[in-house]
Amino acid sequence: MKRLFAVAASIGLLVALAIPAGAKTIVKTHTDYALAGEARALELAIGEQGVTLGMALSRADSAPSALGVGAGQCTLLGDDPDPDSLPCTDESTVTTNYPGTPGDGIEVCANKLPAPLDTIVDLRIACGSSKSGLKNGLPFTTNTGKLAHLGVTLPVGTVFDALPVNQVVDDLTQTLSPVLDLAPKEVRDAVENVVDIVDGLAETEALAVELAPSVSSIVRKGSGLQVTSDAAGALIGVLGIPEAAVDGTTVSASSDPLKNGLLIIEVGRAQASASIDTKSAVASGAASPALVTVKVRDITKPEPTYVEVSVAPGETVTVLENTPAESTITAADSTVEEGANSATAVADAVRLHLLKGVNGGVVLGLGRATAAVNGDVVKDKRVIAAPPEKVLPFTGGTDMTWVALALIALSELIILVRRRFSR
Amino acid sequence: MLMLPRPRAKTIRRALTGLSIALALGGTALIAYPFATDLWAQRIQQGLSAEFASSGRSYAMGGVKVGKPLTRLEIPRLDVDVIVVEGTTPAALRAGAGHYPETPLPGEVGNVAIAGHRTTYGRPFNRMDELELGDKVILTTPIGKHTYEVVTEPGVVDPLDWSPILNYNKKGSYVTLTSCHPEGSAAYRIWVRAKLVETTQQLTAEA
Repeated sequence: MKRLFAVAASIGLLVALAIPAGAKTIVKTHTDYALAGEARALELAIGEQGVTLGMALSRADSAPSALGVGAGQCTLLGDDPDPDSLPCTDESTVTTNYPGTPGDGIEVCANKLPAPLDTIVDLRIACGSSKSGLKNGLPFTTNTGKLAHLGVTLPVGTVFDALPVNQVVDDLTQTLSPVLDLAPKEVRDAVENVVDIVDGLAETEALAVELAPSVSSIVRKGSGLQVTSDAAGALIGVLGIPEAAVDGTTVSASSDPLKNGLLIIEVGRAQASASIDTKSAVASGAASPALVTVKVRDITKPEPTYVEVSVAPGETVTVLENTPAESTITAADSTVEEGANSATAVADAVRLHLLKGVNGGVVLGLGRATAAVNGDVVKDKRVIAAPPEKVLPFTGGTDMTWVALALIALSELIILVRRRFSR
Repeated sequence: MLMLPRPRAKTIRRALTGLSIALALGGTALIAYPFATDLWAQRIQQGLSAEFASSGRSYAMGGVKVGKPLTRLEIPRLDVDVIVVEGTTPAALRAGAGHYPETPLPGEVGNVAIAGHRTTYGRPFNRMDELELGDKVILTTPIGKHTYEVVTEPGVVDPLDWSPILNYNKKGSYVTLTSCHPEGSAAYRIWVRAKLVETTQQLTAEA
């Protein structure tokens, strides 16, 4: 009996050892990747005060996770802002993330800048929106930062005596006089003195900016993900000049800088994009800089007449030199750096330094767009049970004839053994 | 002769008697099993034949359920005449032969596939390996009679190889028969293909 039990146990052990033979070693790969993008519509600095308007930021990685920020209004951000602690106003900023708060893409807006900028900068609607999530196993995020209208006014009055605005007005009135000397008689007659001009300016905006939305998004494209940052195009008007009729009478005491400005600057849209294949981690990038056109008004003529100057990417143009209204425009250039598994695309900002002779002037940065991706293919070695495979229908009984005969023979043998046990 | 105390010897004799009877019964059952399945399949076929005669409406509407009669299969040279059911589950195949549901119906364009038992349940495909080129395979449905001619020699494939069934993209209408191989073993599958050469419309009498 003991021997029989040992034999049975051995057979059982062999069967148990044979079971894992069905398992397979499978080498699987997965791709680690990360994407980042940012678009800034406008950065404005007047003296020591600065603001970033219309900012969109996107991040995603292979966790999978996604983070997006759409902000209408922030302080100056610097080169590499931390997405988790952006200096943006709550009322115009939306942050979404996956996993976490996916958001719904609805805009939130602010229409007032912090003091003292709010006294001279008229902001009409700065908005942000954001939405993040997971679709078909891949993260996505879409974000916009929008600015409807920005106007820099120069109010006069004793209320603002304590602010640097008065100094700006004084400088402006003094430095505009030589400009006026070049104007036709009709223009000079239409404006009796410099104060009238200042009054006219006080009723208009010395600087007006209109912007399209900035967008930064990470979405699925083909077999991978693409980050696209699209920085706003803009129309900038500097110093609206009151219109004068032929006979010298003032047509309008106020003027729209965007239509009759001393300078009208058109900035096109800048775009940067980078993509990565989520299976092979192959990356690529592309960038297109904003195109800039500067129109300078010929003030020798009463009606608005402009000379157009195109600014090529990477070039700097100065207009109205040696006048208080001297302005420098540097058109953005773009760069793309590609590696096997990484790509960085930057469409840099158009930088404008306007009215340099007026208390330092106004510095604008427009249309900065960045996009970056990187990734790596990682191999995982896993041992998994072989999946059940479908077998063609079983249509043949196993031939058990010999087994049956063996059992019958064994039965006969046992009868013989039984006879050995006597009563 | 082995001498043991009387009570113990009696116990051992009884145990050995029981074991002997169990082994004999087991051996007998194994020998009888194929014959039992043949009888079982014969009984099923009788019911299917009666049901098949009145299955015109359900067939025409394309709603033949698993286990229900689909077509009559005849191979005159091998003396095969069996009602093929829909489906290839073990329960359905107790009828003897079943139609692969992934494949077209008899007479349709494509590759109709039928699996049949080799050694049990009536063993309709027992002599499948004897099929030769040109042999007739006839599939009769409530709405038509389709005559096929064998166009391939019998072939043997791995049980996991579905290519004779599903990966056949040649234009035309074909039928592929499969069974286990060799006889008494399920180590491989044997298959034969025939091409449709004639179809005769059949008017069914509605019950």
